[in-house]
Amino acid sequence: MEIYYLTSDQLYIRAYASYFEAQACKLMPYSEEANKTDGLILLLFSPFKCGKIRISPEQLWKKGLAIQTPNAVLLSAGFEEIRHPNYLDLLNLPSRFSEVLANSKRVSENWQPVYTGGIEMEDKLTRFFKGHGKDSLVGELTNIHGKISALRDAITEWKLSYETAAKEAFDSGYTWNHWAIFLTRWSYYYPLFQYTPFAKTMDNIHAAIKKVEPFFASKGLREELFMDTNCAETITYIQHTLNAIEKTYVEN
Amino acid sequence: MMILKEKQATPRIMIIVWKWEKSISEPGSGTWRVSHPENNEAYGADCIYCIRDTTPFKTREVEIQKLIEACDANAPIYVFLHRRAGYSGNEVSKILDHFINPPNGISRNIKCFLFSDGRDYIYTGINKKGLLADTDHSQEGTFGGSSGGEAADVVLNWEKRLINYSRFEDVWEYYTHYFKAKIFDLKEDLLLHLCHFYTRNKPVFVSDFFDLLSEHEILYLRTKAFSVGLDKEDHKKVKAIENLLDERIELMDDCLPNLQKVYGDPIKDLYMVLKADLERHLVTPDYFDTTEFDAGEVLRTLRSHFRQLLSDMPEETYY
Repeated sequence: MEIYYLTSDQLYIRAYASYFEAQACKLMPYSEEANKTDGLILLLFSPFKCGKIRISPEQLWKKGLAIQTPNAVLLSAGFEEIRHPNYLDLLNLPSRFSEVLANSKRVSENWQPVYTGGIEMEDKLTRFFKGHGKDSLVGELTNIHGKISALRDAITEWKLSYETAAKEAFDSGYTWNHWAIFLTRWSYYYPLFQYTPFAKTMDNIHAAIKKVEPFFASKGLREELFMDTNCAETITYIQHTLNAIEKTYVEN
Repeated sequence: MMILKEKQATPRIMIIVWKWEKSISEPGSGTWRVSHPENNEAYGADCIYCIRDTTPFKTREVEIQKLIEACDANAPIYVFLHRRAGYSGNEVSKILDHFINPPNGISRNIKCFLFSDGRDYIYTGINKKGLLADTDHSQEGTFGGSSGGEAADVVLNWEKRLINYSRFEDVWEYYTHYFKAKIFDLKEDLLLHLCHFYTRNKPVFVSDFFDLLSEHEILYLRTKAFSVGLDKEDHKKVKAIENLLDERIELMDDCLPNLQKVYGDPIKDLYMVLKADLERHLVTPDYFDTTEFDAGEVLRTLRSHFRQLLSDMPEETYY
């Protein structure tokens, strides 16, 4: 039997591979491809280490898998002394792992994953989207998106010169402040997302942010950066993708 | 408005004893006020006192005590002591002891931290939102410095002696939750490195864990700092490793006195139980002890001692 795992430290695998082998289970590193596996079993070694802190992303994984592979079994494993059908106490392993699987619940069922002691990522994600009141991340991005779209429309539809259109769009100068705030929040939160079900999507967003950053760094003075970075479309992509994540993992 | 009033009633105070430039540590006891995010000058009285560490040790001690006694009795006070000015866990204990049972009978809400060599969270080189410049040993200390090549906007107005609120807030928040996160992190790292003794399913000697930990020097030094404290040689090792890896090692050589001050005396017993456990198996094991142990039992006991200590700290581990 194949058990897919996700971990921030291979020491777990070195220590526990022999146990799973003895239980006729093979530990395989998780990738999104594994979601196609019928009867996916995903084992999260949790909490995960992200730089200097640890995170607990179980709730997000349960939500994500419930949409993509509702029959999947999500197990977490760690050093907390907890009894739960979907938790493995790594200092008190069951003699028969098959019994754990038989008693565990599917992700589509109604149950709460255990808390493994790190930053609760569901809360963190909510704060990422909704925190800071009217100046939420989405609010900052909406503002930027509005200005950038207006600039694009002025050039393509109203046939204004870039210089004239940019002067009008960025007259107040607030756009650059919004971008600076957005970047600051992003650079804080982004590393925390690496062990979530949408990590790859966040990597793509990060690449998109890097792509348009030179335009914002130039404070809109360089027309070629607006065109070359495909700025308007890229900002739209970032906003829509973040909205989709918010809808799936925060609003659901 | 209510929040504003509460804030005004309980100012947060940092006392930083460092190699300050004279102009920063004078006048007015080296007072620096913290700006309000919306430039509302009436907001609270959060502030930083900068004390120079060039004066004699005793003079400084008296100066710190007088300053604390003059502060609002309800104000939470964080005292930051520069290791290079001769401060260690002992001095932390001494300051905290003085205010646990103060001569004037007014107990203070104090935490005390050690920092040095540009490797603690209060420095802008380590933390983009830090306060102190990471200067050479030969240079005097100042606010700001740079982070990632950009000048740090710590001081908003040098003339008015005004500190950036968001930086004060960030450093304050970090040190508020400093110990619990570090203790939790030590627990996870120790169990992760030792758990293969459990899956190996063979008895262990009391020195086996120590032998393994000796191969992981950073983890050993963290464990030693937390339990028995580091000596001069250890500090040299820490510095050498940090220079080699260009990374800061999270040390807790000032933990117990702060735990006692914040959580009360009962936590000392929990800490001492854990400390004894760590000493016996990981820091200074008795090589002549040939008793065989069940590794699972030892590790479960260790985690239980960590859990008891952590559960006596009611705040969240991370924020």
